[in-house]
Amino acid sequence: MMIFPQRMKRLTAVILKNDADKLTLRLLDAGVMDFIDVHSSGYELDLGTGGRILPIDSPKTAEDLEATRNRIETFLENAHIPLPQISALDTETLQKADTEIVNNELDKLAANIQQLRNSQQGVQQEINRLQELHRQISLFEEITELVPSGSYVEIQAGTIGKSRYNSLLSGLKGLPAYAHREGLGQNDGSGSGINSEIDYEYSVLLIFMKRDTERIGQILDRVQWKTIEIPSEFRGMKSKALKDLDQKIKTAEKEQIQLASSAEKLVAEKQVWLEETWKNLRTNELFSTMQSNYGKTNDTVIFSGWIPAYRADAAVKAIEEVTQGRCYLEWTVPENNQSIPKKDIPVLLKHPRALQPFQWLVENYSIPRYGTIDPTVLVSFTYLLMFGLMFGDAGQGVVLLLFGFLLARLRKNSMAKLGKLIMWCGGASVVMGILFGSYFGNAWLPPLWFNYHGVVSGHGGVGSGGISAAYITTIYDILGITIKFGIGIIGCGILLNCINRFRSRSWFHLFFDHGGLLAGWFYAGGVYTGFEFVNSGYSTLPSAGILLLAIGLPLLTFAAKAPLEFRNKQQEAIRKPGKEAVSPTKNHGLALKPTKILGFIMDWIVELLELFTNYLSNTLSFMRVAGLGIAHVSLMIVFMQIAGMISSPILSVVVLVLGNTVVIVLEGLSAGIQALRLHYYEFFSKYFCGSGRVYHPISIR
Amino acid sequence: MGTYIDYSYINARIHGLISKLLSETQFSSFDRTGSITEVLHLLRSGSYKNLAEIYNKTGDIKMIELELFQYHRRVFSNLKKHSPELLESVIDAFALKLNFYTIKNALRLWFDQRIRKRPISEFIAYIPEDITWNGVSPHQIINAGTKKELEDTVVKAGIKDDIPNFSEELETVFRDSSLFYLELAVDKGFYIKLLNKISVLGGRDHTILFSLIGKEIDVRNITRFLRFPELFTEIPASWSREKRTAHIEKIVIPGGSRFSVKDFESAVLKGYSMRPSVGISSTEKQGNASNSGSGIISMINKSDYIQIDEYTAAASSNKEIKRRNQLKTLLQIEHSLQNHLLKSAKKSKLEDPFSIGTLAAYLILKEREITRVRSLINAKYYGLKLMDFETGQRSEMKENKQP
Repeated sequence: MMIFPQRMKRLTAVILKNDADKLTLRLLDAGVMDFIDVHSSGYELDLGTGGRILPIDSPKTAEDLEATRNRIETFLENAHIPLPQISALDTETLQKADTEIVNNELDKLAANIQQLRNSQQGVQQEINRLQELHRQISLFEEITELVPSGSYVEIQAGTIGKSRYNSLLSGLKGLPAYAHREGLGQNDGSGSGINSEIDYEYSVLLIFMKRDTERIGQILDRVQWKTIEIPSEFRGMKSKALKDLDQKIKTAEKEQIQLASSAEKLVAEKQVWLEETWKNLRTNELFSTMQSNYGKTNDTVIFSGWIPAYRADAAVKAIEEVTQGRCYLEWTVPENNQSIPKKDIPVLLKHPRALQPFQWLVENYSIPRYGTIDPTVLVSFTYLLMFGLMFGDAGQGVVLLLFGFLLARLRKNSMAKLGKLIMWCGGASVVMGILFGSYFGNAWLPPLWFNYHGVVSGHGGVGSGGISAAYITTIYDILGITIKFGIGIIGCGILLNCINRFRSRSWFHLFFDHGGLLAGWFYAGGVYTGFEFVNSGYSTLPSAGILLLAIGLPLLTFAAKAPLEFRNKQQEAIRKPGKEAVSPTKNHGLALKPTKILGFIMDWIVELLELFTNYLSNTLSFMRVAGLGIAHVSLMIVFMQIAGMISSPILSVVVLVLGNTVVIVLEGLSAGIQALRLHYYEFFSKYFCGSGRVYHPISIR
Repeated sequence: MGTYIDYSYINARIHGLISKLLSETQFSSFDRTGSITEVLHLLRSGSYKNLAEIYNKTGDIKMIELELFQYHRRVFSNLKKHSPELLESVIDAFALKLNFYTIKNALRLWFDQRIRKRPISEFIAYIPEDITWNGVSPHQIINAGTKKELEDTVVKAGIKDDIPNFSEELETVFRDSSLFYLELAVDKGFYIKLLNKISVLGGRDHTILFSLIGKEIDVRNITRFLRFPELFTEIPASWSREKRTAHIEKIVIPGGSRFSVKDFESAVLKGYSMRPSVGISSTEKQGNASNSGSGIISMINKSDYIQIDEYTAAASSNKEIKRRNQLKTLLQIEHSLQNHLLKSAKKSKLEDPFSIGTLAAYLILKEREITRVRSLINAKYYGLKLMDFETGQRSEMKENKQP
């Protein structure tokens, strides 16, 4: 658990070119270095001899490798095959990736799948034709020559030789047409068995679309079709025709499914090759990305990056092992080198898993800049306290706990984090609920701190339970608690800011920031004055001397801020390297004129107004903690009363359950959001230095 | 005119929808994929997640196009659900485009099977049956037999009056075996109806919509001139004024923001006195019998839409290369016009956040996105880059004379 982000060190290493690849693999495995691109502007290398650093030649860029890898992911995901785990990547088995060969194989696979898709298309078109015919036949009452209005089919019956029936069927392929044959016609050689030399005839019922009449006509002519009146056995065939069509549609749909799963099987057959290739490509991609940060000369390679201080020794050991000592390593510690901009140093926040939800809340706001305070641990305490004050009910807290647990188990990524946060909030509610003696709005056990429900409903005070029962008797007392809580939070924020400024040796900001020493002095004085005024029954302020000391002096000192800032600018202009020194009298923007002095006075007045309004509004903002807590209790009182008014015990329970659900959802959401807002706006604004950069080592893990 | 109360919710919602539109960068990355499977996979993360599933199930690219069409319909119906009553009629008016699109497709299939005697069974399923007009479905139009049957079906559907000069154009279909002028009439019918529908709006909303639709009409008319310059240039000088006017009225959509039908007519007249300089001419006629088209080119160049001198300068002695260059230039010009329209749409969205500009902008942008997705999927199906596919499309349209 860290109050400050992990200490980082910058390593600059020079190795022999021959060792570069082996070392890259080792560094990939270790996954500790957040690389700096040695070619980027702002990274100045003093080579002394006037040599040049060139980029490493890479046969395949990371982009090419990524594009090919994405293709493989497409095939795997389409076949519902999960991607290999990142943990399966292995530098030992790394081989050079030839994306052309891989893409050729993928093209072949795509072509094979496309063939199946083309077959699927044919089947789909057949399904479409059958469905159209089905729709048209459904319009009929029964099979007759009379076509119902709105239908576009034609019905014919005829006879055709047995040997030509198959020709008829193949001619009808690709057309929406239905053919049904019945037994053998008049040349069936009755009695004595079938004579194979005679072409027996079928009676055929043909249903087709009117628009295809001409084409069908040609087919019928070819097969020597003889039209007859629709025989009686064909009338009443509507349901049979529909059944046949349904059957054909089902068969075609089954074929579709088989073809679709054949496409998946094609991928599955190549699954091993696809997975191994994916892993190889991914590792090559990371390898290429890492080496793109290197620079080379004729015989050496140079690279640079940030490593957490606690892993520095392991990194040195690895480098020396691979290079067998043929390396030059230079370490830079940012604490000893103020010229390195803090925003360029990557930040690693290391906390136990239990505190991950709070780290997530902090990172959501911004990444703390390197060297400044990481408020995660503090937030874990203050956030839960705020939430508990707004949502103090042990029973409802248990519900939140269970809900958060389920969410964390059943979902992934940010939903799982949210689940864990809800679990914490549930826990805080349970604790505060016990302190307030609230269990689903009921006082099943006496409170340990004070009776929140009692105070809100006017039954608080001595005898209502809790160690503070005598002191917390009205809603105003609850408001008072939250304001004091707010003062504590704001005071904490000021303190943290002073620590940050002190560590970064920003003396000017330490004194003159809105969260600095002077502002803190003013705030403390203001709080003291406020309490004195309230305690005197809103009648008297502290003496003039105390007011001057507590409030007047810091405010007057603020008058020096603008002139000092101006002076700093003048000195910076003079000191700027590489530029001609600028005389303040010559640079009109930096010359001290009477108007400038007026400007200083205006700045001072505005500063004072800002200070006063900000601190006042920030402090009063914490009253929402009381407000929401009171609203929570009030809602529960209402639902309890409604439940009490209902005579039926079952309905009464239903009302209570619904009421608790509404309160948990509404108040839970409100409390969570308001606690977050108080942190982001009232607390973080005092001290948080964001715009940090996340530590992002290149790693195969 | 709507108030901020009417627009605040729906416009906030639309802003969210606009932020989800596919960007040019995304289209470029889609275009880099090698196959239709890959591009459908990439589209899965957005609004088009159904498409991959449909393709895996059916292998049929036309089913994907049908799904895109249905998706476009759902866009309108979802917007309507969240819009105040004031805007419902406007959304319905824009949604008419899909109706007219269906009518055109139905007429095309009818034409293919009745006039060209081509089999159409495999295409019918891709015409949605659930769009009906007075209980008449597009399939009834497709399956209509004789000219009278078709006309009766169209009358029964109540769409005959929506298509200007339907009966005369139908005669032309049978006489010339060409659906071209009937399709032009359908396009014109849509815009006339759209402009009529939005006339119920008042004040600023009407001005904004009228301007945007007017620009779209201008773009359509200019594109029509670029694709089929012979429509404008092969008007014999010997024609009477009435005949010429009737012809121009047939081929130009009225209601343009910058160019009216009369403007085109004047420009055509000017072209008789100017030297020939038009790029593509299907008959390559020269001399007194044809118009140079320069009048129209000059008229367009004076506007802020596009400069089309480059269009004519596709220099190559090789006819095929020249043709392809001109098609590529045509495509670039069309893209440029589209971008101009999109810029106007985006501008109207920004100018007044509580006006109809936001809705109109979204509908135009969304339609463009869906059209490009359709083109992209087809391009990948044929193993082409998007631009190559669109260039090929232009060529096919010219050959089959499709607007």
